[in-house]
Amino acid sequence: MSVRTLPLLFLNLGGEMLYILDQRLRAQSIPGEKARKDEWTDVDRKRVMNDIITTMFNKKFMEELFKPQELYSKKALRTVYDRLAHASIMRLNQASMDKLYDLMTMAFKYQVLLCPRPKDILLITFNHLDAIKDFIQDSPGILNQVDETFRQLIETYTCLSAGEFQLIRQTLLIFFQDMHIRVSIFLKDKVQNSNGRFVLPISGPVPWGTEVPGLIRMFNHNGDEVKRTEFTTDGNYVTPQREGSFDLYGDRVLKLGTNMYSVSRPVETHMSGSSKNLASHAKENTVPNPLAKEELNFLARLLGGLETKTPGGSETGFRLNLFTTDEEEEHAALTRPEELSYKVINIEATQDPGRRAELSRILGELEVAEPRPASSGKGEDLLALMDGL
Amino acid sequence: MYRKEKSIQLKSSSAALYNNLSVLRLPGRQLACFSAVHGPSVNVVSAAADGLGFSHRQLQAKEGGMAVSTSILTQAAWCVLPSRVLLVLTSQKGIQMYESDGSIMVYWHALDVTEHPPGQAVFARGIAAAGGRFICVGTSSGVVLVFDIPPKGTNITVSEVLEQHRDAITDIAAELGQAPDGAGDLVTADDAGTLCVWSAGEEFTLVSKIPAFGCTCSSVKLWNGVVAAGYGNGQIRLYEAATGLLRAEVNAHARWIYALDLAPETGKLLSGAEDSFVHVWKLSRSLDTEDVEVSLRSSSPQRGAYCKYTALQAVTAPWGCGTGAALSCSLW
Repeated sequence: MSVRTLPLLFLNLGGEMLYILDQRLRAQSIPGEKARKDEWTDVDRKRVMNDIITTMFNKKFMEELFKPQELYSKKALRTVYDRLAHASIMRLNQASMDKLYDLMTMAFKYQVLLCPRPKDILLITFNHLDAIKDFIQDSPGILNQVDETFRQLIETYTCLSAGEFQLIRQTLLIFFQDMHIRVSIFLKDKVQNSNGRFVLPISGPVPWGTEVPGLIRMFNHNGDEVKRTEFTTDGNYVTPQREGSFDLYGDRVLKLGTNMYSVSRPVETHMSGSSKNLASHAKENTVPNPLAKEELNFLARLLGGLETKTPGGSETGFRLNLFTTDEEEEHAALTRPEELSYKVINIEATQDPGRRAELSRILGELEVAEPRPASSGKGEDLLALMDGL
Repeated sequence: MYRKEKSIQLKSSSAALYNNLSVLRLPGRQLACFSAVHGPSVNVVSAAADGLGFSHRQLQAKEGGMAVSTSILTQAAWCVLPSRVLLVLTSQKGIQMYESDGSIMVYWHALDVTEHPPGQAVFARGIAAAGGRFICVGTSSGVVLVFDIPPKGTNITVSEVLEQHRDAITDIAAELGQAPDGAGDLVTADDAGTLCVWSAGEEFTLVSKIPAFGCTCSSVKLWNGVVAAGYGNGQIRLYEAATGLLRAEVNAHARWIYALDLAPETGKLLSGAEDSFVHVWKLSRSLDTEDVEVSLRSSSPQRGAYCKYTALQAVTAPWGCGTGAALSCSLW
């Protein structure tokens, strides 16, 4: 509904993805001297984070993102994150990618739902961006790109009214509707129930601008207060201390959107399993070609800005596992319920040599500093590619 | 005071939108119908009075032609007029009106996208029957469309366009009780928090305009000349419809209010908000001073299991003793 939702969705989900990847890379990393060829080191981790963040904040890509438009379909968005996660030397199996996406989406859904004021969605976004800047603090070039996006967010969103922010929030909630994947950190902290629903707290600070419930004031026809009564409820609310900052730098106050993972709190999901709730969720869309042209242009720009890091013939792939063991990952792939399958379009699956050459050209070596502009011709080629699938 | 009836489970969750529950009482048939929107469709449940029989239906809203729409529905509401009952659906594309069982579409009105500045969302929202003859629907540009509804048939026309609001309409409500003279028949509310009270007729006239105070008014009700308005900062405010005077201010909820409803025979007001609380308030008016009194009668949080109530409806039970029966819909 709101045509200003996509940047917030993309940046926040991207932020969550980076938290998770960073945690998993740290968990699996080996000190440099001891590492074998196929094991992660700290240097590799920083490289992966840099590569993904560079791609995410690509200038042309951001321009496309900030144009007023409806949200993309779930499938198209998932495909974008697939590409983003593979913007570096890192490789993820389908099961790990599914788990990554589950965690990202449930985390952001939680943040949107518990957001005190609709405008606080912007603070959540800023929390993610602050953390992203921390990841790349040693790289001034990329830092600049992120700051640029920060400025664009401030310009686009700080003037919106509460009603418009609420519409953005409602658009996001509709996007996340009926997703009830259980996340073990949420279950442990008792913010999510075993049926996958989130718990709304009835204590704590009220949103900035709201009064603590309890007071009733009555006025006469002259406008004078003539009566005042108080009531109590089960809630236990307090006045908030201060408002979060909406500037480029500042204390955001809100904790939603900050990194909740650490090496000691690993990421896990439980599949909610086939349940009656899932059977009734509305069909995603009935259009036979799941990626409409605009979405492909978006994707093309993303690919156009991609600096390939495909390992050469002699290097083995650097695979990241979102699960604790390879066996767990295999098991997850086999037992994932059908209704939770993301049905990702794999655009590398082409037999046509002519088209494969075209795709190779797109994925060819590109300078990050001067990304080849994604011409509409490229978008058309991709469209033709999709039609052939 | 109030009696919570048996819970009714809808076939799918309901969208997190304002005022997302409509109830139709069919006294002759001892049936109540409930509807809530979810994405591009409406869930409709018919429940027998004895609480034993339920029948579920899901309507896929059609837009103009035969194609099933993919645009999101913002609201569904039954409009009861003297001669007929229509089910009105509002969406991102426009306004559709169906016979009350949803079987036949009798009218379709497409929203004019060019009326909206680029970068603004386009949708219709806010539905109410007024003046025994009209159905009023709000839009995201702030315009309220007044449709003239004939006693039967499909010859529905736009009789007037009301242009007092500058922000997207959130809710519209018609007088539920007996309005004192000059108090108006209809109230419209918008995203900025401005309220307009109207007198319905061949030409609608503005009775009073209540200025915003910086908060969205997401839900509004009109009863015996009193406007009850629910706001984004969790406040409920009561105004005199004829003059726009503020009569009461309640710090009711810790989060955004999503729905209000009122039982006209008893003056019980229900409020539901994102803090997961449902409150029942008693409204009354002093006969001599005309001061409005409001007090909390009951409150119940729904913790954990269900996220929130986004809409409720207080309904007088025609076969009961006239007390309001509160029904709540667990959603999402």
